[in-house]
Amino acid sequence: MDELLLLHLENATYSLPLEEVSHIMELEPDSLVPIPLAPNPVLGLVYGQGRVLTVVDLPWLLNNPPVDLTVSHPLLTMGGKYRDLAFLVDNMGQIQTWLGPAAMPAEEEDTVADTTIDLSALTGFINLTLDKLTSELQERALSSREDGSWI
Amino acid sequence: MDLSQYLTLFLDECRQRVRQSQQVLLKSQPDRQDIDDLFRQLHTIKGMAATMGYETIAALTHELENAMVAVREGERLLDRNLRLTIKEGLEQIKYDLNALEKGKPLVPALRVRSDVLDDLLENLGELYSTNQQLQNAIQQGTIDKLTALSHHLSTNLAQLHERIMAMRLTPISFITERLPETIGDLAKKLGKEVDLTIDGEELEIDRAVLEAIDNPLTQLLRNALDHGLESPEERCRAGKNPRGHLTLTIKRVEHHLEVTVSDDGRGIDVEKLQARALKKGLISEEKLAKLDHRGQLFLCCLPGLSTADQLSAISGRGVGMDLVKAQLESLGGHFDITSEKGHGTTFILEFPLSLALVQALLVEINHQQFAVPMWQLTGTTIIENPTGDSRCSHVLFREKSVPLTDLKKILFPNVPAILPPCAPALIIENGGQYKALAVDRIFQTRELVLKPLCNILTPLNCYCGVAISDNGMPLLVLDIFKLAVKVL
Repeated sequence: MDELLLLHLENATYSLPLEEVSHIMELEPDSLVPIPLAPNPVLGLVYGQGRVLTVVDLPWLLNNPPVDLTVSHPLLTMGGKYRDLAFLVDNMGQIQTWLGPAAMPAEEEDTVADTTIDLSALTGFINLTLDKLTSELQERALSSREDGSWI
Repeated sequence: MDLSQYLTLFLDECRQRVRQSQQVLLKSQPDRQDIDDLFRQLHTIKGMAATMGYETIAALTHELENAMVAVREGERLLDRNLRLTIKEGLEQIKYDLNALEKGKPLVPALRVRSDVLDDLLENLGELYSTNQQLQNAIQQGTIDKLTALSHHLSTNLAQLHERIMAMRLTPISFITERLPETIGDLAKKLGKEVDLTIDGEELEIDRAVLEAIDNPLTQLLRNALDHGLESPEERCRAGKNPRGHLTLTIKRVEHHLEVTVSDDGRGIDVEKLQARALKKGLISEEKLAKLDHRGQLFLCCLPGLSTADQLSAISGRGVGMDLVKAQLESLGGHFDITSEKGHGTTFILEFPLSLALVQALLVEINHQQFAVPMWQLTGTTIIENPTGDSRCSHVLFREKSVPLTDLKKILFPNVPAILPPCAPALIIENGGQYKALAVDRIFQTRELVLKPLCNILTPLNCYCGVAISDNGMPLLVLDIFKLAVKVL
C-alpha cells in the first residue's frame, strides 16, 4: 500500500496518497484573493512556492463545516499535474501520515508515535484521489456557471 | 476525427523514417540522392505528425527540414554541426514517440538561436550591474541617482521583454504552407474547383497562439470548401465563375490579431438554419423570434446543427462550428460572421497576440482589483448618471447610445450594485455593436505575464487567466467578451 496522508474530519477519516502532496505551508487569510463566481469550496488564489495556487476548503468540499477564515491554517499544496491546487485544512491535528506496513511501529511504541496509526484504523477511512476531487470541483464550477444568468 | 486508432501505425512509420534518416547521417560523404532522401524522410515525418496533431514533433521536423532545404539548394553544407543538430533532433523525436506510446503528453521544445541567448546574457549582465548600482545608491541615499537607475532598469526590462518575445515568434507560414495542398486535395475529393489566396502569412506571432489557432483555422477552411462553395455546375447556373475562391487574410490590428476566412459561395441559408434549430429543439420559437440577422447566423454554432443536407466526411459530423467557437474562446478570442445568400460567407476571428504576455488595464470592482486585456477593449467612457439611477441602461459613446451592464452585478450577484453618478465604463465592440461595462475605478495599464487558471476553474469561462500584481498578489484577468457578449 502507498504511503498515505490521513485527514480526520467530523464526518469521517479520509486518505490521500502522500506522494500527491508537495508541501505544507501556512495560509494567511489576508493573502487570499477571492475568485468571483467560483463554487463554494474554492476560496481563492494565493501566491506561494513561485506559482499561483487555487485554494480549496477541503473539509467543506467533503461536506464538513468550512474552515474559519479569520485565522491562519495549514495549506497542503499538491504536486505533479495538480501543482496549482492547494487544500486548506483546519489544523495539523486533522492530518496524520501512514508510511505503509514496513514503517508500522512495534505495539509498545504506538503511544509515542504520533504520526503513525494502527493498522486496524486503515479499514475505517475513505480513499480520496485528486482526479475524483478535481472532477467534483469542475462539476461544481460548471453548475455555478449554469446557475448564474451571466452567460 | 479520432486519430488515436492510427497511433501504432504512426509510431512504426515515424520510427522507420527516423532510422533511415540516421543511416544517411552515418555516411561520411552523402551524395545528392542521400540528401534528397533525408529531406523526404523529414518532410514525411512532419506531415504525419501535423495530421496526427502532434505539433511539437511537426515543429521540430519543420526546423530540420528547413535546414535541409538550404542544403539541397546549395546554400549550406551538411557539415558536422548540421549533422549534430539533425542527430539531436532525431533523438528528440524518438524520445517524443516513446512518450506518445506510453500515453505521456509531449512537452513543446523551443530551439533558441545562440545569438539570441548572447543578447539575453548581455541583458542579464546589465541588470546585475544596475542592481549593484542601485544598492550603492540606496546606501548613499541620493534620489537623483536612484531615479536615473530606475529609468535604466526600465529600459533594460523593456529590452529583455522584447528579446524574449522575439524568441517565441514563429511565421504564420508555419501553419499555412500546407493549406494549398490540403485544400486542393479536399476540392478534388468533393469535385469542386477552388483558388485559395493567403495574405499576411509572413507575419510572425507567438508560437502558442499559432499552435492554438491551427485547428480552428483549418476547420473553417474545410467548412467553407465543403459547405460554403457550390459545385462548378451550380456556380455556372448561378452565373458565377465555376472556380470558387477562398481567402485567408491575417493582419495585426493594434493589440490583437485579426484572421478573416472568406468564401464566395452560396452563403449561409438562415431560413434553413432556423428551421433545423427548431426541429431539433435547440432553440425555442420565442427566442428565435428575438434574433437579429447576426444572431440567426450564429445558430450555426449550436452543437449538432448543420445546414448541409448530408453529413460530410470532410468537415466531420455537422459543421463542427461549436468546436471552432469553443477553441477560439479558450484562447480568449472571439469571432463574428457575415453572410449574404448567394454571395458568400466571412468569418472574422480575433485573438490576442500572445497567450503569455498581455497589455492590460487595471480596474476595481467591489473593492477588488482585476485586469482587462487591452486587446478586448475599444475604449473607456464615463457614465453620465447624475441622479445615481441604478436602472441606468445606456451610455453615450462616439455619439451612439450603447447598452450598459454593471460588471459588479455579474461578478458579485449578491452585492447590491449602486451605480455612482460618474462611474467609468469599459467599451467593447463585436460585429459593429458596442457594449459598455461599468466598473468602480480605472487605474493604469500594465504589461502582465499571463498564466492559465487551475483547470478546476475552466468551466467558469470568464477569466483569461491570472497574473501577479505589483504587490505580489494574484491578479485575475477578466475575459470581458465572455462576460458581456451574449451570443444567443
